[in-house]
Amino acid sequence: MSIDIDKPAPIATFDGVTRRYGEITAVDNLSLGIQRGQTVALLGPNGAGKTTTVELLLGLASPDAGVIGLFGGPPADAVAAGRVGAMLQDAGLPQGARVAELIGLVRSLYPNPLTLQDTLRLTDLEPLAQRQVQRLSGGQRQRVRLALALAGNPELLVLDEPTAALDVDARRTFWERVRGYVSAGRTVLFATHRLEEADAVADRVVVIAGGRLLADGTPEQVKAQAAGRSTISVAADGLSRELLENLPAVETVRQDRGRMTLSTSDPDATIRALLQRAPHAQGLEVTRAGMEEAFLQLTHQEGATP
Amino acid sequence: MTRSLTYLWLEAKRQWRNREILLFRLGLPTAIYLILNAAQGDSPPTNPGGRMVPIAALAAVISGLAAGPTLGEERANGWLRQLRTTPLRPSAAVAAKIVVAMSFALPAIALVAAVAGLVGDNEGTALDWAGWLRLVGLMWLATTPITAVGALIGLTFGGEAAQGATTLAFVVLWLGGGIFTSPDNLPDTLAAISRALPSYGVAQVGESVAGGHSLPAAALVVLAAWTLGAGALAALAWRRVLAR
Repeated sequence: MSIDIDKPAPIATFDGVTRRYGEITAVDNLSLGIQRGQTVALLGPNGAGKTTTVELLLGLASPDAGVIGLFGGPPADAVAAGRVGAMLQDAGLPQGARVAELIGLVRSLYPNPLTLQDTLRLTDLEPLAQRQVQRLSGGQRQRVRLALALAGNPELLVLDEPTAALDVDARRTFWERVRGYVSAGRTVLFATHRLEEADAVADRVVVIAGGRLLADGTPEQVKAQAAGRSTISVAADGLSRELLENLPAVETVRQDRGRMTLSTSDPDATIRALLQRAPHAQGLEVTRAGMEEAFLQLTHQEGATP
Repeated sequence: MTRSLTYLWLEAKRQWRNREILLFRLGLPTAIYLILNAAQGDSPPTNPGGRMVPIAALAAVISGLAAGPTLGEERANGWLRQLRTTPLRPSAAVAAKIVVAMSFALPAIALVAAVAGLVGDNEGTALDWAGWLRLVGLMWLATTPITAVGALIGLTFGGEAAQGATTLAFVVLWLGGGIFTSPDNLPDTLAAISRALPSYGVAQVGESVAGGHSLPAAALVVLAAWTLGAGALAALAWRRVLAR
């Protein structure tokens, strides 16, 4: 699925981009465009290729094939021009530096930065401005890293799993802060493995797994695609796995204590065919997959294939 | 340029306010000098630099290698990658570590010289003011190849490994490099290796100034070769880091 966007040229483009690390293809022929003003969630399970995608976009990694454009040129040029701010996954901070010094450094590097006061206020760091970074808690560090991404007032904000280390409350406050920053014209791309986070924060969700694009649309569209999935459970007696796997719309088959569990994108078609080919099938149960489960199916089905 | 200087200033403040770093880089060599001086006070040194020059060379080695652990740690914890998402020129980060290492080497050498001048047993030197300044200044410049070795270590090894490699380099340069004992006391092969190490070059420069001689050509060649060699390897390692 993809959405047709009637907007000016995208500010960031992936055109047939592939990146391999040894035997592993981290990003596999990915094509994607991001428009100005969008808040885009890059959604996928661990190992889906999210971090590599972010690194390619920032020019930290270079593609084996394909072209990446950022603000009309190579990523390195956009980064050098100060149009991008980023929060990398688990990036450390230099011991002994004070919070305000680090923000001051980033401000001095960008052409049109936020004021120190605004940066501190947006990230609730005013009382900690003079503290050395090694004396901060994990959550406070996370806020400093957000502050460093925001301080340059970049046109594009890139966040890689920014809330991974935070509890539920801290996650909510984090996204409130980001929303406080994002206004017309600013673009945000964030990687996450949480569907509910993508749903709550983004206006566009790009699902990847195994380095490939699986779905791309509004959160509603992506949820609808995931939610069409159901599981069918049936007594295993006299049913071969092969028969079940060959039923229409079936994606995976699992055997568990005398029952077979199928996941399917079209339960009606699957059941019709099942009863035709195996009229003796009994103990049928159909369950609509919950959102999380459906999303996992959507991603695992692709992610699992080597 | 301004951006690089802003980063350099932050990096300098960050390291200079760290008490453990100050104690290790500035306090330790001076303390070793004082201990040696007290222990061997009744046997005055015979070489022109006395006990001062070898310990000043030790100070040069300690501070000179400082870029290694810092670069290794910040490569491992991702701070250097974070900087690469900003408009700062990536090489400015490496350059700053080298400059800050040099900023410790100068006072570390000067402190040993000053203490030796004050409490030393004459040290066999008869230097005037200009001579002392030349001694400290030239030994400091001779530290350059050691900072290149530090950068090479930090760009080749990450995190703990960089710390370990720095310690190893420190031991080799200290024990093998004519600081702990003169190459004259070593078997031929070891003596040749010792004379080819940059720490020996630093000590030789100091000794020749203290003795009122011109700078020894062999030591200058060793220092220049290490600067170029380690510098080129560090540049290669840096390109590999960037091309990940």
